[in-house]
Order: sequence, then C-alpha cells, then structure tokens
Amino acid sequence: MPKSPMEHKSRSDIAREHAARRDAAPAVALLVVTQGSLIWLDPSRPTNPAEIVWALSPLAAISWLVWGQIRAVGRADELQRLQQLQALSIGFAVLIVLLTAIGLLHAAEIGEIAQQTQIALIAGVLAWVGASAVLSARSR
Amino acid sequence: MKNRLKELRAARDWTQADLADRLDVSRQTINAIETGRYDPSLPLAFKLAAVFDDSIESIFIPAHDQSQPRSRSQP
Repeated sequence: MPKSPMEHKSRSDIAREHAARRDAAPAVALLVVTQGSLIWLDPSRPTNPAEIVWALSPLAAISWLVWGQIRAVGRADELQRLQQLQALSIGFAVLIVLLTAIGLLHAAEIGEIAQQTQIALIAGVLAWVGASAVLSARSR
Repeated sequence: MKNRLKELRAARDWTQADLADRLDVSRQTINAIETGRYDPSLPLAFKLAAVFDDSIESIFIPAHDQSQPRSRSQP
C-alpha cells in the first residue's frame, strides 16, 4: 500500500505544523480584516488619534506573526534552526542592500522613497521565505 | 560525514519518521544526516548511539578514516 504524505512525517513534524498553524491562523485573519478595511475604506491623512490607530492596526497582526515565527524557531530542531538562520540571513542581506540603494537614490533625488521602501521590505521578506523553502527542500 | 544510519535503521525495520520520533527531531533531519548533508550535534549523536545501542565512532565514519568501523558486538 503506498504511503500517505502524513506517514512521511514524524510525530514531532506534525505537532510543529499544527502549532505553527494555530499561531498563524488568527494573525492572518486579523491582518486580512485590518488591511482589508484600510484598502476598502481608503482613509487618507488621519486627523484624529482613532484614525491614526486604525491606520496602524495591521501592525498588531504583523507583530502576532513575528511572535509566531519566534515560537516556531523555539520549537524547531537543530537542523531547522540552522536553515532558518541561513534563510533569515539571506532575507536580511537582500533588505540591507535594497535599503542602501534606496538611500543612494534618495540622495540623488531619484524616485519615490515611500514606494521604494515598501518594495525593499517585500523583496526582503520574499527572499527570506524563498531561501527557507529552498533550504528545506534540499533536505527532504 | 558518512554514517551507517540507514543500515542500522533498516536492520530494525524503522522508517525515517520512526527514528525521528525516537529522537524527537524532524524526519528531514534524519534524512539530512543519512545523506551526509548534515552532521548532528554532539547531544544528538549521543542520542543516536543510545537508540542503536552502539558507539558514536561505529556509527559515524570520519572522512579521513578509510577502514570499516567496528561495532561493539565485534571482537
């Protein structure tokens, strides 16, 4: 009988995945709600403290996701921690290089810094996630 | 580093997941050790030796050592 995908995972693998999902699911839901409300209602130039809090509301979900990631590193075994360190290093390196480039472009008065910074952040996170996936796949 | 993990595991009819459960590590880590992509830490190496009731030196083969390792059961 062919093995199901679950039989290829150890009990600790399954426990870690379930724990990661438990940590991430509410954070993702909160992010969808907060970011979604900002995109849909599109507030601009907040004029009172409540609107400023609303504009910053996705930070709660982002912080929750970061906390979940820290917990995931704590649950990881020695190889997974090494892979996560390597992936974080790659993501951080990409982010640093791009932020430096943005600084140089800003000094030369080229481009829109707000947009460039967002691109740098997204690129850094994508580099981290991509590196994590590649490193993990190499040892499967 | 070469090792006899696959051979020892097969002798007991354990899957990689079975061995990972006994050591409380991921199956991925067992696969990486077996294929030589990753060398375990000392605590994990001692756990492996305990699980297989053998010595670390007979499970792991340093790169410079061309001779076959001896297990505890051999004279």
